[in-house]
Amino acid sequence: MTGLRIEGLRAGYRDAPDVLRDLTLRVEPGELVAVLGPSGSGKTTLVRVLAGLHAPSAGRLLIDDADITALPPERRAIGLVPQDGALFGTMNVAANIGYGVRGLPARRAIADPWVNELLRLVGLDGLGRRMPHKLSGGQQQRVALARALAIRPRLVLLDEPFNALDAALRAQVRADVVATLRDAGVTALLITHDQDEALGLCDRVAVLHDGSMVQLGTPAEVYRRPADAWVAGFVGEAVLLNGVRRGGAVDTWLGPVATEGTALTADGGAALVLLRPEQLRVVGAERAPATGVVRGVEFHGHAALVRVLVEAAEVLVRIPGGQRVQVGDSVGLAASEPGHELPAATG
Amino acid sequence: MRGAPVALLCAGVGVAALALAPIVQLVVRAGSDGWDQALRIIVRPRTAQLLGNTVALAAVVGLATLVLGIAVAYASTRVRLPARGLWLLLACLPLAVPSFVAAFAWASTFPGVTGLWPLALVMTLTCLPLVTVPTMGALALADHTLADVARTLGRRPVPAFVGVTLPQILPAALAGTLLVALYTISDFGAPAILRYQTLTTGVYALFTGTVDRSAAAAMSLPLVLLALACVWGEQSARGGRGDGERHAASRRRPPRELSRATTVLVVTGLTVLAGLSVLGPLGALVVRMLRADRYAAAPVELASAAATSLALATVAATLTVLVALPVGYLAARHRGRLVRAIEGATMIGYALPGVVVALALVALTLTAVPFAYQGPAGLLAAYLLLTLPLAIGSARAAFARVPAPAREISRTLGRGPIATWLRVSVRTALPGIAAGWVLVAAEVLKELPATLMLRPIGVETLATELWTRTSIGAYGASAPIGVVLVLVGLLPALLLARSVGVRVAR
Repeated sequence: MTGLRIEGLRAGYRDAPDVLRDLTLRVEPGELVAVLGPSGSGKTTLVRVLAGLHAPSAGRLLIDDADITALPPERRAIGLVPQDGALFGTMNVAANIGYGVRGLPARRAIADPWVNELLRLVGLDGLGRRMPHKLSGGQQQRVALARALAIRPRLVLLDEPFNALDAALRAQVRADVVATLRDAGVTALLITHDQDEALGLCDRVAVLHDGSMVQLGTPAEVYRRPADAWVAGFVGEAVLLNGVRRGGAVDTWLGPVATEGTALTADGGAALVLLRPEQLRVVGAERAPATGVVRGVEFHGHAALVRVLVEAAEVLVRIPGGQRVQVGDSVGLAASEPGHELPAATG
Repeated sequence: MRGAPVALLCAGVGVAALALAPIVQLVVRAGSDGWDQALRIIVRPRTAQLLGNTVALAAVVGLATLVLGIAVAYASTRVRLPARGLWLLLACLPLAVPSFVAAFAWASTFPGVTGLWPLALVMTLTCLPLVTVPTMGALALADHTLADVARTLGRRPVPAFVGVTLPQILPAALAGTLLVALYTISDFGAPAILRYQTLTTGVYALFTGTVDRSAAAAMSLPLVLLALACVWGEQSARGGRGDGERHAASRRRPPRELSRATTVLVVTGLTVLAGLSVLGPLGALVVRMLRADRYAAAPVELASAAATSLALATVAATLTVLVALPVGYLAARHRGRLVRAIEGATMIGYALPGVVVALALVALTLTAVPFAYQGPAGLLAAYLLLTLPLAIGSARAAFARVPAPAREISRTLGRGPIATWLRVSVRTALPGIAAGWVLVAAEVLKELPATLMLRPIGVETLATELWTRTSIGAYGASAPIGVVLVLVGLLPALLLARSVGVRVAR
């Protein structure tokens, strides 16, 4: 059991040959990895290549050390959960789940122990005879997952499976689906453009940009120590500070901001530092290294996101929910934690 | 019924009544000499033989077009082929070749080859677009994610297609096959030229060979029953579902890439098909024309016949599409018993041989509005009845595609139901409706028997010119008209190919 290995994968279409360029990724057995990227980054192509629905132009795919690059989809044992579930509309729930089980006719699916176990696993006990159009969106997604799990897949691909769900339903369905995947101990890739989904649910996050993987790491790593300014901005709210390197800190308009790890620039060189909004503080204007005017307050209960206009630039600061700040206030700003230095060139 | 608008229902019932009028006339006419007499004509070995011939022909042609049509539609839309647009075009082109022109081309090239199989081949080749075109549309709209999922669940390509994609496109393909079956049983020219006796040619022989028109009317009753059976068969195969209920927001799927060898095979198959259905007949006509030394060219007559054909086709198509709109809309949105009855009634008019519709209309005109006898109105009415199912089928498929949310949003933005219908439903469905217009126009251009019966004195269309010359044995003289007829028919076929291309490429 060595999980999934993607090695030097390239894929495209005749009119767009470089949708994926040289993608390499390793997913450990039982791991849930998010592939996070904006639309057009190659996520869908990656899904199709992994499922065997599209042939790559170069590279290899291995599952448990077996090369599957040339296998047709029906012999890969890779389950697919598409965006809208894509349940077979003419079959009931049990027949949908039993569709991939060898030697199981549709009409006997309802009595099959394995199908019923899967129904229990996804929490749809007793709904085996329902037709897909009688199910809620969340239920449809769970049936789609059970159907993918029914073939005892070596890998499950979840292709933006929560997109079509409304927000109220989404959180619950997400949690259910992830719990089911964990219970089943199955290796899975969650393809998504939603940062919260990727960071909140997955063991690791692979960030895809223009067909290349720009970063692979735990959610905390990707959020706190993004590989470049693009990733920093894509996975969350970012405050980017330009300054000059002075030893272990960078001199910015916010005063000296300490950086963690090895400095990327030599002493005296121009450096770029990332702070997340929660790494800034709103303090009294008189003793702060920088001041600005509050332009907006977004209250979330436990915290509030404050937009502060400093000269021409807007800066985001996350403050505790109890701290009182109002639009129009003049406030001081200070860094409360060390920042993360980004490579300057990609700004 | 989900609250079908009363006004639309009334319009639909009106259209159905219009379509049923010839049948009523037919039954009255059949019984006018007493029902014993009618029964004696219907129940005799001759009728059974013609019925058997007709069923055999319709079955062979229907099955062949269904299988071939799905294969051609899939190959030309879902497979990556070189010169993709060309195959879409070639799939539509047979529409330009009227079946009797194709039959004439074959018969003049291979004079001895007549009977069921040659006729079935000619009919299959000329009717193929009736299945191919709607199936292409359905394939463009189908949810191909389902087939992807089936593949990941262990199905090989063919079982995945049959189990998951085919059910999505079958309603469209079956609707096309129904049109093929109805066309086949009511076609007159091609069977007559290839000497295969069907109920339709039998009826025509009785009409022209005897003075007893009631006998012919009686003889056509089994034909009406056969048409009813076809309609019933298609509707029960469709299972009463409106088509296109589940059109997922399916993202575009690139066409399948095949190996070089398979691609060559597919391209060869499509080329052979196009050669047999279009290039072969056209080439035969051109050769025949060039060799004809007895033909005295009459370009002026030809030009005037072509102009008449085009004018009639334009007016008839516009009229038919307008009449078809309410029925097509009802059929797509409100599938109840009444709506299905309305739709079925309009199909019957198409299944009746043109010659029967024509004579029924002559009789109706003489009874109700004698001053309109042998005027253009009668001819247009015949075209309307004969082509209504084409326009309704296209409109139904087009309306089924209009997303419900768009209509509802229009209502919330302050548009009433009629404004919404015109500005959202009709507007969105317009390409499909336009495709129906083109189909009707092509059909009218080819129409022969009803035109022969109903045209105002002195008016000649291309089809009647060809027929007149063929029937006096002037084969060489007929060939150039056949060529012109095919060329004129190219226009709607090209228009259709373009609209199909747009739909498939989307």
